[in-house]
Amino acid sequence: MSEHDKIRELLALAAADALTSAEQKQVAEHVRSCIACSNELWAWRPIASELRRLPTPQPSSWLVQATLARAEAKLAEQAEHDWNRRVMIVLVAFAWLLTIASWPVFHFVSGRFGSSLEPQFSHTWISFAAFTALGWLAGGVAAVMLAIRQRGERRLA
Amino acid sequence: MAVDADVVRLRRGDLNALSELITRYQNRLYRYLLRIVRQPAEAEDLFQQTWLRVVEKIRSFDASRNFDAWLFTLARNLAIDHLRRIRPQSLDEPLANSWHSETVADRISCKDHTPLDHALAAERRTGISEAMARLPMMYREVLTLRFEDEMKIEEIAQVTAVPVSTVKSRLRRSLEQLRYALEAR
Amino acid sequence: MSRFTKELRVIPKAAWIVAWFAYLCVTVPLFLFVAPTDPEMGKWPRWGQALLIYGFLLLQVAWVALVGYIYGDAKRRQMRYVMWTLLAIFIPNAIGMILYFILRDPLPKPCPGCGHVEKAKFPFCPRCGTLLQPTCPKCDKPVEPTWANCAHCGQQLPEPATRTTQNPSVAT
Repeated sequence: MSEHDKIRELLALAAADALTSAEQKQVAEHVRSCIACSNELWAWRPIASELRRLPTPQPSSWLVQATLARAEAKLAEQAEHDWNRRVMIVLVAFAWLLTIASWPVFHFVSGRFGSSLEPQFSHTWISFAAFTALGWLAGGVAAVMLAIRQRGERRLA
Repeated sequence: MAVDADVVRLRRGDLNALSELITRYQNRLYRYLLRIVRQPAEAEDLFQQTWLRVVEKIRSFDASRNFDAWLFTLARNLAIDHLRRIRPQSLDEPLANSWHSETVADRISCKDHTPLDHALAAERRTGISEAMARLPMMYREVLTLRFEDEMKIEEIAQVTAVPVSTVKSRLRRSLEQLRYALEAR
Repeated sequence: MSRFTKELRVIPKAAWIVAWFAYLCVTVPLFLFVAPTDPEMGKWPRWGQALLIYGFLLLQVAWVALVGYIYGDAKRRQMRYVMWTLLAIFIPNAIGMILYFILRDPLPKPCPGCGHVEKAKFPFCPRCGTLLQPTCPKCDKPVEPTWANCAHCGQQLPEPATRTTQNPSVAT
């Protein structure tokens, strides 16, 4: 491709101000000697300037307000969601802390009163596990019952 | 920059920051969406959806990045998804009927132009506006971002998710098609 | 005021009193009488015993405070607060508390017409009939402010800024 053709390709981009400084120099030099390309470059100017000066379309006057109202509700929703998630994490950590803490307490208490209980019963991991499992079982039963009740209430609503 | 300060405040849930951002980008974002979907009602709806998406994703937005490019990318994705669902053919081909823009006041203020120049320019502008509306979406997009938003080529590349060379070639081809359409009238 | 301090105010004062009182009732005798004589703990330095007892039993304070919170929170959400408080106390290892947080109702807002507070899920006020939530113009089901279309029937919704919750004509 000759230099002339190469420059022709760059002319449109020149109107868009999208040339690198090297390309700009190339075009400027060529245009000094080539009248056809110089005319071409000038032909692009009005189009480029009109594109730049196209009137900005105006949205409805209440668009910003309406968007803000919706976005506000969404922000509140998200803040609530984040807060609930944080509370959940803390609670689960707390629940585990209590579970783990209950074992030495259990151990301690059963150690003090071990004489009145079967020796195999106290001081065994089975009793810890049994106590923990009992907690989870009670929780699970309560959850199922509450979920059934909630579903029943929702169907009536 | 004021935008960055607002973005930081928005991440903490500041409502006023959101209000300022929406107002600041009001015209630019609406204009961009309108150029893509070419229907004012849809552009307004997408405008709202874009900001909802911003609220959703602002936490995962890296504040050191360019907010402009991110906002426009979100808007673009929503607009393209919308077009894919409603008018998939308009993504590649020009609109069958000419879409005429709303009437807005003339913006020429240069004293050197004669009234004839003004009239010719106004007519040319309407012609350009119509001709642009008939271009394929990718071309309209790159023209509006470059000339109306005055975005840098690199930013346009970010928003449209293509390399800089593609942006330049789209720009060149869109200008050539536009000129051809104008001269053919 | 942060969200946390706001929520802390839900805990009734009585709960705090019980919490700290119980704390003292348990920690002081343990520290003074039980720790020195215990076969294992008695060997520890005094500050170690203090740290363990006073630190560890802060968990108890937190637990009582949480029970208090559940009491106050369930009450303001118009839930069965006695039942939930008992569940929180008697299901071990805070599992009852976790259940409460998962299953709790949303916060109700007072009625703009008469100020009465009723459960959040009701769209109308039971005392004066004022519409409490925006509803869909086509199917009359309650809609969220972030919705652009009704999730029940698909009807396009008017803008939230212009959406009104007017008094419906109360049929006699």
